[in-house]
Amino acid sequence: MKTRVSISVALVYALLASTALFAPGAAHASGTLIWGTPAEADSLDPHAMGGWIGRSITQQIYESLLDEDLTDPKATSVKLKPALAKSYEVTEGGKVWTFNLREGVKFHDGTDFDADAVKFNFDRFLDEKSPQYYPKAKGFIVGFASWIDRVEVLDKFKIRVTLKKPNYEWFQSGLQPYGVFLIISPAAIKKYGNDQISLHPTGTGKFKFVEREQGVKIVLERNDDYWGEKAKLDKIVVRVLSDPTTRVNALLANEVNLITTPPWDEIDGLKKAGFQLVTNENVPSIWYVSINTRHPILKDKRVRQALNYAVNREELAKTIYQGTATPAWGILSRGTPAFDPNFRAYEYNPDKAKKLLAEAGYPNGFDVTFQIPQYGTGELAEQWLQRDLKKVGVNVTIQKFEWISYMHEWTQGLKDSVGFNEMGWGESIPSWTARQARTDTAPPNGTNVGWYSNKEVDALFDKALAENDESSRIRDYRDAQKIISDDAAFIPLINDQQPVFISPKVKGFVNPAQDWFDFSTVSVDP
Amino acid sequence: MLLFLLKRLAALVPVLLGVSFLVFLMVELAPGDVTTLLLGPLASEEAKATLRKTLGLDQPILIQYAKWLEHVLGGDFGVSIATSRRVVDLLAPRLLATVILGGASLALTIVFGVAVGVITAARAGGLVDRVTQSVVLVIGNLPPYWLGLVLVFAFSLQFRWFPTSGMRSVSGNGGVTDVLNHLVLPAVTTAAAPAAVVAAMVRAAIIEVMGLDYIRVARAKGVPRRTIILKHAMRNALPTIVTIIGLQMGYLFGGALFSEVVFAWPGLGQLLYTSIVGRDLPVIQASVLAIALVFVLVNLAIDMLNRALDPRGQHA
Repeated sequence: MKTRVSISVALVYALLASTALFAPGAAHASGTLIWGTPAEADSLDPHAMGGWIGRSITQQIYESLLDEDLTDPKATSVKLKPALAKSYEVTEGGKVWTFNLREGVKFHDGTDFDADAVKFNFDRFLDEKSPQYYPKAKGFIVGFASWIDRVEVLDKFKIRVTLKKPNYEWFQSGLQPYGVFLIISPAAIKKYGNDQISLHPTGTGKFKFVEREQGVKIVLERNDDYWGEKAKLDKIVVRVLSDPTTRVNALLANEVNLITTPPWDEIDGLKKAGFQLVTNENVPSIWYVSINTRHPILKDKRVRQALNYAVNREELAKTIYQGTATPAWGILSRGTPAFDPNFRAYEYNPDKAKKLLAEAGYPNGFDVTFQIPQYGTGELAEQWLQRDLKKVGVNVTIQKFEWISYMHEWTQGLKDSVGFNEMGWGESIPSWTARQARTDTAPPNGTNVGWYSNKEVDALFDKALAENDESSRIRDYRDAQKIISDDAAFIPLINDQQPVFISPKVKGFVNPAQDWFDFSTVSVDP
Repeated sequence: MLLFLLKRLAALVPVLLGVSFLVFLMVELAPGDVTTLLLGPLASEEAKATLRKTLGLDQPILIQYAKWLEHVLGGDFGVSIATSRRVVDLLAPRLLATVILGGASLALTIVFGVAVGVITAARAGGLVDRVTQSVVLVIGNLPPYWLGLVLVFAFSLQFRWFPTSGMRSVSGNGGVTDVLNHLVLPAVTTAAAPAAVVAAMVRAAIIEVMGLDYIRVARAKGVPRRTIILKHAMRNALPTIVTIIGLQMGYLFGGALFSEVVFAWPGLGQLLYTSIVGRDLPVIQASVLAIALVFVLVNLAIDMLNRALDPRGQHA
């Protein structure tokens, strides 16, 4: 009996151990980049999507008339370069944009690219009478589309867009989510329909779409018929690994060779294990608090200024973000030509904060509500803020919302009873800042959720958009930033540096001054 | 038996109806709706309102529910709002993945739970029994999330025996051995706590039965100990054991959902989470119904098994 049971037990253990025979070597093909992402990409229909992960993927599959150059790691802001348009000119003070298109370009399905294809794409969100009109696209790309007065095909490879008002940043704004103006094959849209084109993305880019297993992976392969310099990689696989530790483990086991959004406390360990951390201090990704300028207490400028003095941004960046973020002093994000690296405001001074609060009539502080989204890293930064403000007598109650509920609340604008909320965002063009701070972009017409209004600032923003000379434009934005900062409409917190970890086999990866990547320079050693 | 089966299957209907209506109600009541997902947060209220009308989302809840029910009864679970795929196409592979993980975990739970339970009951009071009981106590209280990460650290990173995550290797087309290889750690993680509980309770059930008169008579008659335990005691403890395993199903499924997160196992749990976050109602409904159905069917199977084992109708 004893022997029999022992044998049975031994057999069971042997069975378990024998499964080790199944263990294969880690699966990697040479020339395949395997990227572990923290979330699923949303739709791959560029006109109707918004997330940064999906934007990276559409960046490989599609192109626009002009693209941003994401291959220079030293650029402090990304510049436009010719893509499907070989040249362009902007006339009438920024109102008329004429593009000379490239000839001999084919979409991935073999059909030809020309001015009619471009017009077809415009009509998808501009012309309600066109068969390809797609209300979802219009809803997403409204920021880019609302500037357009008309689009004219001048000849087979020439197209002209006339805007309603001058805007020198117009085209580049079309390359930023939500809704991105990338060129989709009209034949593919006709074949699959507006709803299903996201499942069969067909562009002109350096990589072709191969397959998508929802929630698991997306596979792209090199486009060997690309019109320009071909990419180096054979394949790109994007794997969804939402748990941060699982993502790190996959990198350690060589099941992926690039990960984004590493958990802050694993950074040292990964470096020690031989993985390379690549950051870019000019990524346009700023975390900021919007203060409710209508709030009974916070409508007093002195109180808002006090809050700004009370937050220790430098310690926050160092301690919580472990060096993967820099303190943000103003609301002009990094990664735009207008960013001023020398701008400083509200350096940490809790005594001054208390003084201002007393002046405003709150010597013992006050209570206030802070609305935040749940994003799974434990809301450490928000608790830091709460703690800093407590030190000057301001008691912050944090109200946490699940993401979609939060977006619903956020886009409606701060209610009178709520003191402030937060967002992480940014674009490579400074007019992004304008959209958070103009009088006429308050909800429901935009995202100035704190109801900030200053006519002087509005005028500076108007002037900047119509300004052809870049240095004057920059000066206008910086002047606006000074006023906004003095009005303390926001509490800028940190600029994220978009930390990426790569395996030593990955070569040529560039972390650009933008929130998504161009993988055409990457190769992976066998 | 057949009548029993039919009655229970008929009882399924109100359960599923109730569950689906509750889900409908909860998604409706949650702030923010699917038009934010469909149109993006920057879309105007006007655009969202128009879309709501097109999708029929402005209708009273009961009408929306009735329409959905009508489609479902015709076999149409609709289209996922977020991905434009048919819900059935989205759900099927996920359900299969969860069933595979759940099935493998259940198999491990039964095999190890019963084996360890029987062994320790046979050696009740001895050193092996006491040591095993302590080990079982510890394992039974380990959080599956933590256990999963520890197993990955040991068996994926230190000894490169198993992959850290996923259901198949990235280069795809690995076949059954590939899936089995990926299945080991998540199944062990999911099965650990339920197996420990089953082991402890099987031990208790057998010990209890061993104290009954008929067992004493058998021992007095000189029946070998092995036969007593594996034949006589087990036979009568079986309904209890089956019920215990059935009760662990809930924990097993809960543990499977945790394992799906840690191991990026593409199952229903993950799908349900992302569809809730995205307010993708057709997918939420179908996922919840699938889970409810699996639960009810498994419970039914357990009950039927018990009836077969004990036709007198006395349940432990």
